[in-house]
Amino acid sequence: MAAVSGEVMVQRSAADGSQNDDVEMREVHISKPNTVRNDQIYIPGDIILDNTEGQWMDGHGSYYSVLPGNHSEIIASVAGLRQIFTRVVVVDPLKSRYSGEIGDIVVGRIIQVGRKSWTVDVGAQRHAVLNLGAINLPGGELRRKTEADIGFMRRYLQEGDLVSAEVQKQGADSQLLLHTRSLRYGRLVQGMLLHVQPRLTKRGKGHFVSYETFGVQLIIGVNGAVWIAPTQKQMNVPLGLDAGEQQRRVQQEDYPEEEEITLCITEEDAKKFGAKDKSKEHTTLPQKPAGSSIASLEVRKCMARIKNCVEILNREQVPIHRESIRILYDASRRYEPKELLIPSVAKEVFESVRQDLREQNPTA
Amino acid sequence: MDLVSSFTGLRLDGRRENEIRDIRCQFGVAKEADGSVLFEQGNTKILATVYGPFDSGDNDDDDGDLAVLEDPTAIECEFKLSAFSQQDRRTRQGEDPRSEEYAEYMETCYRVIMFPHKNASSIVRLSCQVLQADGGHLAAALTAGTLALIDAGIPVKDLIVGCSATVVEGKPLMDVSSQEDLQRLPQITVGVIPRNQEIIVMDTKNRFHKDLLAPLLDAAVKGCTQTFQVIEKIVRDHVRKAAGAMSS
Repeated sequence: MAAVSGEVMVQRSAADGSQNDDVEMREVHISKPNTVRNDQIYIPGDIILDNTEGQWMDGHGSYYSVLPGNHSEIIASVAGLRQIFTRVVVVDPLKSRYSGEIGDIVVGRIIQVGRKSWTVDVGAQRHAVLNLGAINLPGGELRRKTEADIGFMRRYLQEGDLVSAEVQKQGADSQLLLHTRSLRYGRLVQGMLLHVQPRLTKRGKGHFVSYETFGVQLIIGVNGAVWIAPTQKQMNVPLGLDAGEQQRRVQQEDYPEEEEITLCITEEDAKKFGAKDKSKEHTTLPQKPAGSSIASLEVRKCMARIKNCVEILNREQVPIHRESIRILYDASRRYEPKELLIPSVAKEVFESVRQDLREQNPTA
Repeated sequence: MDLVSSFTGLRLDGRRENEIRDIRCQFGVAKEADGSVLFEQGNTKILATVYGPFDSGDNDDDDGDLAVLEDPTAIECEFKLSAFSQQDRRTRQGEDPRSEEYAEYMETCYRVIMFPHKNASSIVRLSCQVLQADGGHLAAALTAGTLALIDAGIPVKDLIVGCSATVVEGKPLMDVSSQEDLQRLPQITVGVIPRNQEIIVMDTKNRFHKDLLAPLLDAAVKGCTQTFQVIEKIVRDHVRKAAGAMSS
């Protein structure tokens, strides 16, 4: 952290003798190089800076308080480490809910199908919204969405479906708007979802990770949802919304008696409204898409191992990205995937690569 | 049996009149919750869990209506006394009015320190479960709730701590234990912002003369200050430990 010139520190009134404690704490800090400096730690209500001259701004985790006598102060509102960026004072909480930013890749679950949008739970303060206009239609068709498409919404994405998406913009009241207008995004089928601390899945480039040698791909959502699935090659699964569409068709073929009764409008009605015949579109697709086939045992074992590795990283508070998973994966090969669930084994594997992992993450 | 020994001047559990019980905390005990703390004050043990802020679900954007500006509740509290927490196991039929009242006190308190406008259409759910009851439940729940909110990383303006007080033979005693609680003595519990000594809620139990109010309040607020000093150190130590583990 860069030292800020002209920084005015205001000591809390030390009538309760807290200053003595502070001195003791500093001595402890000297003996341990890795501990955090005491003057960086703030808890709610602590005065961070005197702001009478109005030179500071309150960022996340701090607020601005005006006192009588033309005084004002910046006060912490969460417990954590203080950071100062030019004029903005920020306190980083130890943990908090995911708060979205434009461009974030997230994995969420559809919880509601609305009139023109889906409501998606991404684990943020509010549910995110995926508008009908913000998806690619199956088959890659590019056109304006019609009334008929509204009727078919449940066919594209249903309640309970998992989707990967990108944050397109942030609404006025911190509501996130998502889009899946790329082949990378869409409904997720066949795989496992696990939740980690959102703090560990930092924003960056490598959110779509593919380990071709293992036949496993990952989507590391910025919101802390990690999706582990067999690669496209393994499964021959088409990308995007087509995946969901085909999967459902296969399911229907397997269980023909289970008819889809959740549709708002029947296909006949849709034709009346001038929509293209959906069934014709699908005749171009393979008769029995491989999306229904089950990944081989080897691939499934790799997925299980990766899942256990991610869980260890989550427990040990190590950032989760391509390299950290790979390091732990390689170290864990001595054991069967299920053995990694034993705490002592997990600890041993982690300890053997702790140094490597730390070098990967020069976070201070 | 005297509550305060006439010989030593000590209370039944060996404390002096102006002493609070030992406080111990364990953060992050409930993995599924956004924030949690296992809070112990003497033999009173409370598990406080915070979920949220999550979508309150009362907004329907599809209608295109203007959002109705309702009471920005932002927090929902729950206070539960476990059946196994007291000396004799009792299972209550229906809702316990006392618990509902306590939950309301907690909501009043936390609404003062939270930022409702930052949590538009989202809600925080806080639950305090008493696992071991040894007096001063409301006071302990108020303190534990604040700690759970901090653990969840929810912005609060300041800390709120609670403390109870009673009077025995004209002498005020702070932080009431269950033995003292059983004797139908005048008792009050306050929820205070200790840094500016602001009293947010006050609960009284049993009838007492108005002249007793001042010494009782004084003892309770002083108890809050003592509790605050302990809590403050616990939170700072917790942050230092967690931040140190993160950076290593």
